[in-house]
Amino acid sequence: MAQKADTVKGKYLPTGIRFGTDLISLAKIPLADQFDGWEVSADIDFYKYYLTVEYGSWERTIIGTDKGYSNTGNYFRVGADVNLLLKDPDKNMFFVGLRYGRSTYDEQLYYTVDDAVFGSNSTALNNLGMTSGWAEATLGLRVKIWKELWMGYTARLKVAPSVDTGGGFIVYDIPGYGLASKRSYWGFNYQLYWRIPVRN
Amino acid sequence: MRIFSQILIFCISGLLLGSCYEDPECINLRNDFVGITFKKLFDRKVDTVGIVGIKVSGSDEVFYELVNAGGTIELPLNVNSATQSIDFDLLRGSFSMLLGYTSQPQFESKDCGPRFVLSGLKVLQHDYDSVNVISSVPVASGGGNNIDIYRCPITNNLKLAFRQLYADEKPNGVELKEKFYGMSMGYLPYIFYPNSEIGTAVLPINTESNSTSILIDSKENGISTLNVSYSRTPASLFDVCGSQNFINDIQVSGTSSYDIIKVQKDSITDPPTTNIALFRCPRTNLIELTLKNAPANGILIKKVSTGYSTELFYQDSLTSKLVLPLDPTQNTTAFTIESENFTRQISFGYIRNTKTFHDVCDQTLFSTVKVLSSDFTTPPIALNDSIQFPTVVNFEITND
Repeated sequence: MAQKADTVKGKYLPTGIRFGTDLISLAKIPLADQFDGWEVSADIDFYKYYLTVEYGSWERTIIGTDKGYSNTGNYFRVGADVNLLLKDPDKNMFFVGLRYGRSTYDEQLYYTVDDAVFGSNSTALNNLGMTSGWAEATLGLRVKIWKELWMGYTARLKVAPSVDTGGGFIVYDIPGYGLASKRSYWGFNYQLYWRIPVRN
Repeated sequence: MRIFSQILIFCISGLLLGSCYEDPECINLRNDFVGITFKKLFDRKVDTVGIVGIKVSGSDEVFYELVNAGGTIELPLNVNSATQSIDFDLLRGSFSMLLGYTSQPQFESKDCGPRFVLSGLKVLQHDYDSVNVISSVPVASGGGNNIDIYRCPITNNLKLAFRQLYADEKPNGVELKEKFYGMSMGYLPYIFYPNSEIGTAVLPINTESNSTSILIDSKENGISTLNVSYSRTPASLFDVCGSQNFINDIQVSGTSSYDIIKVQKDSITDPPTTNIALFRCPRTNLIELTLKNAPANGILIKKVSTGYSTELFYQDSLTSKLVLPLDPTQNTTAFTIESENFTRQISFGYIRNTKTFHDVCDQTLFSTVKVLSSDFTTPPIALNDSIQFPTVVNFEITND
């Protein structure tokens, strides 16, 4: 009886920590001229539950004729995943989870208005020290590729963004979330992890 | 392991397509107009306002220049400003209003640029009697109303109606559009309705006195003088308007070319309703002749004369029909018709009867009208042998 009790108690102890990065964000840096950013993440297992933390940087620059927009900011997400594949010997994961995301950022907007009544007017505005939060539902895979190298993806449905309204203009793009005008948003990460085992 | 790799590749390729960043479509709807409706405190209904012009700060453009506005007008708001003053030049005076609002740009895309979301509209200052913001969200063009502007009741607008009675028992007749040189009141140095053709007139009577003398100068019927007397009752119907003199017990007397003058409503309302109706009796002696084969713009008539009167008709007129008065005192009437090409005489015989309409209109009725003699080569064709009012064609004459 005593041996069985120890086994149940021990299964919630972490077996390793994974550190990773989002390959899509990195790929966008040379490929997308409007976006620069990166994202790192880490998770730790407690039996079939995983505590997950993600942190990222986000810069978007959109330049048009007589108008342009840019933002820069950081964000984090914290949450938990549940592995639905309990019997896999490599502890590969097919998981669902929840996240809370929050970002702090600055935005800049400049434009020229040519109005038939009031004439032409050029304006530059800033949104400084903006914060936003949102919730996410996640779904994904983590697969052991080689030794402690893991790959995986996370699809996320981002919902209910809270947006600061005290700026000089209406928030356009929330780092880590996307367009502020959308009440829900799909996101996707393709991640590469290295796992550091702490016990067998 | 292998099955997981396949799932991974499949899901990645599908979801990568969906993870592309989306540019929104341009939203062209702009809510940068303020809708304004003029209303009356008296009944809270829409007022018709004579606008000379409206100017907004930041622009030299004049809006609604010389128009009568009987509904909501809309004025543009400057999206690059948080306030805007509006100067109203109305027929009833000059007014101004200062609006405050929040204008927030919203970036859409590099192609669309920013759109502007306006909100929090309020009236910061005004010199109207009363204003009410009914919607604080400015509208798109044609999108509705934001501000009601109220004016206090106008308590001295007396309304006159000119009416034509017919040879029947309908007591109110029809509207008579009469030509006037103008109308004036003893206490004001203005001429109202100069050189106009109107069926009703609204005139401001003197609220500082219990009577007002009104002079009406008709082009066809001469001068009439109405002495309008009334009593004044001070009352405060609306706090913003203070005490006002309300007019009631209206009575009218004087010398007039009108056959009947009636007080139809003895108190003044806003908007005005007819207070005094001025009637003309039917003219039952008018014979109508149509000129057959006349050009589209008519035949040039130099004059038409008759033996029983010195009055000349249709002097130097282009016309295709003649409406001429028969002599109500004789059983025959002769007319001489002169054009640039001919002079013809024609005389008519008829039977006369008398009848009283509307209690005071003693009318001579003409029946069995026939041509007694005519210089026209082609005999006139009789179409209707009784005289009616309004007129109908009685004879067709041919100029040959």
